[in-house]
Amino acid sequence: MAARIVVTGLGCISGAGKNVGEFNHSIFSDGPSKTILPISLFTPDKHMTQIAAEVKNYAPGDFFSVAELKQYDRFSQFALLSADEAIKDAGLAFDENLSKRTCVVHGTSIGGQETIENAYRQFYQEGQKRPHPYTVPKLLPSAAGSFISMKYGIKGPAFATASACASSGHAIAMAVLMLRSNMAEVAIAGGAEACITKGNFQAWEGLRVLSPDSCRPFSAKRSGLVIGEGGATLVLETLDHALARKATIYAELTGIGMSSDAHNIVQPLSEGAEMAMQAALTDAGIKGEDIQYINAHGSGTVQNDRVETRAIHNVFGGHAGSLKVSSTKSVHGHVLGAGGALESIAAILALQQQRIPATKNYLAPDSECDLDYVANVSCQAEIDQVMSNSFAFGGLNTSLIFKRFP
Amino acid sequence: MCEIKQELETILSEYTTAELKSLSGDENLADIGIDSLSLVEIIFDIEEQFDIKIPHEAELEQRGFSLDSLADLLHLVTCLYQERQS
Repeated sequence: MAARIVVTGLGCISGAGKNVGEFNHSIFSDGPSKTILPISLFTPDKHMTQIAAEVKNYAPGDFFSVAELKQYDRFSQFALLSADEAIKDAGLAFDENLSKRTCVVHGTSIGGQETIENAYRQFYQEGQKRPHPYTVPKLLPSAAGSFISMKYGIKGPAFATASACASSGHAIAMAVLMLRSNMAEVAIAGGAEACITKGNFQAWEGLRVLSPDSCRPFSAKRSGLVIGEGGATLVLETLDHALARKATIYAELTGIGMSSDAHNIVQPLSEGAEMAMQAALTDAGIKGEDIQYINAHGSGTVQNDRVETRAIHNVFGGHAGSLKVSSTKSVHGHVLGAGGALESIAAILALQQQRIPATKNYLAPDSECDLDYVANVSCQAEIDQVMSNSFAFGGLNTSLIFKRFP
Repeated sequence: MCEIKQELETILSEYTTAELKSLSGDENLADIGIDSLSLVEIIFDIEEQFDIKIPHEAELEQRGFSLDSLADLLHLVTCLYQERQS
């Protein structure tokens, strides 16, 4: 029988706070989200969206040396900070044996966007004769995973997953498969993204999915997504390993589901989302009725929220009406490749506290979104099992199920 | 107006096999094979061609514009183009 997998460490940094404690406070505090604010990382043109969920009051020099910052793109910085918090939280010390039995899987949608834009602007526009030699290693999507393994001397399998907004959902799923197959006993799994840059925002703007005012998932008059940035990491390990070292266990990760829509590079399809959710339920060996809360993908676009609602109805049937469904993207924004991991942390905190974070900025019900979205105010609930969904551009889907432990 | 219509038809002809000149203009874009993803590209092309900015959907709705047909697009682009020139 495959090993049971548990979560023993959490770490995150995002617009909703620079550690898990601050994140917890942000997602459970009531009232409108104060995390989506005017962009400060660049000056947007008049007709562009003016808002994002940036990591605030962040000075890289407070955390990294000048030499390190020459190598670390902003996304790698967020990956390292979240991994450091998670590893310390788990109380892990990597001796010779454990370092070989630990894997790192860290996802990102783009990788070193800031490095790409800066290096090539200087090269093409500003007369710099050639890009800095660290440009290549710095922008690699796999750089974050490499730096995590280097910092802690982790020598097991290490790689990045790239599936747009499901990247860290896939990272966690890959980690689970390696733990179940005994390829590793401990996994550092998560994702990071830092792409609040002018060129990137101009390109996003053309897709006409960025909201000009706020992120209002599932609400009437929702106007699109708000991009955020950050990093999130979970320490996963086999139950036996965790028990043997008397680790604090946050939750059991009982189910992973993955699917692809095979449909369209930007438009979602209900069937793909349904397949991922159903696969996670099957993997966990449970029925829809056993889930009490879904941390939805809930991006705040007209299409995603409508399609995800329909998919939940189709998978959960009569139970859909009893489910609590919320999108914490209304607080931390759409952190793309970090989303699956950051929202898994939100789901685990909900399990821990028996409290469901609200969908903030919700104005009024939409006729096509008819579930209980925990509008604006968090609520107490008896929660035993939760699902976290990530449905990415290109129809790449993951659903993860976490269970209260013991 | 006539020039704008011609330029719009040139842009749209890249995205549909329909014979645009033979249409009334009131046909739904989806019915002539233009899906929402193509419309995103068409809006981009229009913005570049006419040096205008087509507002966010919420603002379009508020101002009584829609993007359902060629006639809608022509009306919108004509208004925005005149606004820009004035």
